[in-house]
Amino acid sequence: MISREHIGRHRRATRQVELGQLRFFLSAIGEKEAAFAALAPGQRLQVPPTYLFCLEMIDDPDPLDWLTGMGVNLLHILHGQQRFDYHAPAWSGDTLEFDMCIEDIQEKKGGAMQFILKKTEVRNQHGALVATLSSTVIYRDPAHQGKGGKA
Amino acid sequence: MTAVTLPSLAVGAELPPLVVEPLSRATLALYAGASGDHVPLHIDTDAARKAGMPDVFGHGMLSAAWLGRLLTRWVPQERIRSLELRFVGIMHLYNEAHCTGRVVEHIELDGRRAARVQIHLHNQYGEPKVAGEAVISID
Repeated sequence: MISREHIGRHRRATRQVELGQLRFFLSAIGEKEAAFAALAPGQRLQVPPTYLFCLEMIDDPDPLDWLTGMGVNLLHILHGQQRFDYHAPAWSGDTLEFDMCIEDIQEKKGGAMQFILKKTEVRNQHGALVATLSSTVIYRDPAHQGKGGKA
Repeated sequence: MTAVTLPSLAVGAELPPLVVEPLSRATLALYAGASGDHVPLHIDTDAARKAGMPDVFGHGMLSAAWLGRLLTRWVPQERIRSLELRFVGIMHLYNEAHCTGRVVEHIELDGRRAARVQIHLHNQYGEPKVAGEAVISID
């Protein structure tokens, strides 16, 4: 069972949007034309809609320490929902600031599941708000297994 | 620069569908490396079985990225105001993603007209995997 005392906790990170890593991502999701596009000097690639979620995890020795730090076993998590609200485009070469906050921890099915709600605000090197990301992570507490709490 | 011709954003308009090749272990491995999401459930069969799953399965955000492609192939990305996704089913190995969408309503957002678009991802057997909604600027 995750303690609700984690609500309100922040995690901040700074990320460079590296062109090579972005090309790798575009290739992995099948967007081959953009992935291998020849760029003129000074030309940039736009960060695609879901890549901001990934940037929060990339280049981090332990990107899910906010979950494991709450006692969550990563074998028992599911991504339930994800929302993006876009305010300004992001590009390769940008430096982005991620400010994540645990918004709520809710108990479901008598504690067999817990919903962890987090929100991340992303700003660019000019201080402009790029996007707000809202995630729901579902944790099926293994301590409740065998108590009839089928997820 | 060539002028961008906007597709129809009329209520009822359907997005050109996107079908992705069946999900392979190679795609999962590449997506894990490219996305920074190294959660073992998606890349390590031993870990997946330990969690009670028959095998590795797709990252929710990989399906989300395909739905993102559905949108960016349809309208300029700057018009996407929001994207919301509910992961309703596990994307198993060899599942083929069928991404579809339809304009369902015109709304006003910050004083400007926008189209509310329902989007779906299901596999080749019609089983739903992701349901969601995007809001697209009209002008």
